[in-house]
Amino acid sequence: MSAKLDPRTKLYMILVVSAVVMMSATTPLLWGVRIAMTMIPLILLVAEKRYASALRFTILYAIALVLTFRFLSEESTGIVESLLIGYCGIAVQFLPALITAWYVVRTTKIDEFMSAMQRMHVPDGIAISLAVVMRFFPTIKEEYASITDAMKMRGIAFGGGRPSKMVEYRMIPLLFSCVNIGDELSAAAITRGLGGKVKRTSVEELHLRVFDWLLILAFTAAAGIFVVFKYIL
Amino acid sequence: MGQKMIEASELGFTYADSEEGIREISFEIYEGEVILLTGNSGCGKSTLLKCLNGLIPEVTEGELNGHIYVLGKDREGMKMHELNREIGSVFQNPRSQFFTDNTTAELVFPMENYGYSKEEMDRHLQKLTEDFSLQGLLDRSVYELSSGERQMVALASSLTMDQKVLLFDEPSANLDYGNAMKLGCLIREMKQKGMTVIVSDHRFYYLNGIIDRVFFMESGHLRIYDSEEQFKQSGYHSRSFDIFHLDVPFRENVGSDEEVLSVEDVSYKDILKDINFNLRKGETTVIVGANGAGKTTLAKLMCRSIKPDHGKIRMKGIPFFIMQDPDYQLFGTSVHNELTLVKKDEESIKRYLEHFGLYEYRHTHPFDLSGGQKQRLQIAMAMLCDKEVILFDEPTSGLDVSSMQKVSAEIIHLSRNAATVVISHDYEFIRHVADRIIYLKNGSIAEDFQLNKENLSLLNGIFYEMQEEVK
Repeated sequence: MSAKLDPRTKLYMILVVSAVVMMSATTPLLWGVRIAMTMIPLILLVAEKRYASALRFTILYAIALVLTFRFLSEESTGIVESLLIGYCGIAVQFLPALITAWYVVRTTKIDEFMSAMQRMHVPDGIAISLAVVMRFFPTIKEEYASITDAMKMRGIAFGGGRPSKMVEYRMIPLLFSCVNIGDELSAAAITRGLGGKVKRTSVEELHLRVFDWLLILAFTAAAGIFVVFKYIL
Repeated sequence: MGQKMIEASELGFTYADSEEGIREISFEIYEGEVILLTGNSGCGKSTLLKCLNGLIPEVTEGELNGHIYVLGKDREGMKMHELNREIGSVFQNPRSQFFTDNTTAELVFPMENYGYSKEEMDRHLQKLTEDFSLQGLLDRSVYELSSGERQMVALASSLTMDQKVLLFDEPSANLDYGNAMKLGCLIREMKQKGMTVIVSDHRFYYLNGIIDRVFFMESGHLRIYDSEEQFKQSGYHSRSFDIFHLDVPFRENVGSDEEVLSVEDVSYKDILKDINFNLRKGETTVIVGANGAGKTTLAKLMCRSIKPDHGKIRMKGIPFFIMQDPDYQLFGTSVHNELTLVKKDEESIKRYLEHFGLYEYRHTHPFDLSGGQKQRLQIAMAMLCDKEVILFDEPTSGLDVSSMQKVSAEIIHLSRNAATVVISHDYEFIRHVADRIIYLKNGSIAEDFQLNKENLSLLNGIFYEMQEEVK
């Protein structure tokens, strides 16, 4: 079975996971559901051959879980413990959403995404804006790396002795170059017909396959369990 | 003469926030013509290009006068997507040219925007692939492409609507010599097919013999030369057409014996292998090679921003590196502050500010400077830094000929107190500054020689070889 998911399934996964992370797990059953939901994007990352990020997230999540359950409790005192409670709490609570979002952004091609938005009848304006945001992630990363490189070579990677400058030296060139690239990107796009009064079509044909339906079902069930056990029972 | 493609009458444009613009421009462009649009930086050629592709008035704000007719229709009554169905545009910056991240998606992107059906798109993609020999370029990540490949995809993607007019904005700025010559051949083919091509550029050697008319811009006004020959006789740096017959004096070798950097048996991944050379104070070394030969990697190794897998690079401290894109390198809050980050020496700072005509801009934020001023600021930083090695990456890309000559003079000036290394594929500029040439080919040094009268043929040979390789 191909691990290639329909972008609509992926978006649904993000939606459900984001909702679930806002509800705290209180019983072993809810914890189990939550952990299972986190495992799915991790397995999908492996299936897409993104081993490094899968491994990184698994270790991070596992450490946070083990620390929370084995070593920390409400009676924990001391600075180290209270810091750990804070960090692990946040990690355990929100990592599932982060992992899912990472998986979706990294494995969805921009044109697939646009096509999915069209199929869901999202207005072109919104679809295009979101697509540009996705297009920007790798660009920001590239720009950031170039700027860090340039700072190292100027000998001001650590703010030239003033730590407060570290952020400023990085952020200002980054903002400027992103604004420039954004301008040029939109110029290139509108000279190729984007934003015309024509109904956009898409070359990507999307189909929800068995695997998509299974995942949608699983995530719906997970969300259902949370809602039922937290608010109804 | 064929059909009239574009007509402008009394066209004028003034930007909302600056004095620059174009004034009273009238011309007619016919089917099958190749037009070179040139002039010094700030002359208004990009403004004219933007008027033609519709970005003025669609995106850029200002006051537009006069009329443009595209295939007889008044531009004013045309929507942006109608205009761009007739006129395709290839932009300059490869980083922002592509909307998607996949080459095939990029090629169909315009068709999707115009609402083609899936079958039409498949058929058309097939045709584009054949027309532009894109077989090996389909379904690839745009980040993995070489600059020549990017140019091909950008070109094909801007002609998906079978546009009859194509605009190029400084195509040679990001292409090496071989790929620029290849682009020249492609433009010749397009012309033979009856297409109209308008190229805005400072370098035009790759268009030698295929230009029908030259549109020369000077402070917002247009002068038209009716043939390539007529333009060549006008005296405007027209020797740049035939770069191999430039009459530039060779530099007397002023290199001292003081070695300031040595690269010993350096290898890096599969990009560079067994690189060996020494740099001496007072010498300007130009590194040439096709895009992807490892030039930038070598520069990064020298600057210690990456570490060699094997071998050693010896020097005191790190070189001062002037990157191609100044925006990455300017961090200060003002021009003056930028220089104090390099060295707190008020007296020298003042001297350099005056020397580079930047004194009145000393309180300006570096990002508000023009491209040329940014570059002068970088050179001022290099002069101030007291480093023994100064590295330049493509300092002349996008510069007009007179700015290029000024930069050459500054680099020669810099090399009095340092070893300067320049990565470049600008032949004319190389002839102005080089004492020594290092030719990188497939990750190794293929040639390393002093540039003088006897060795000039070696340099020319390298350029011919780079041209042959892309064919």
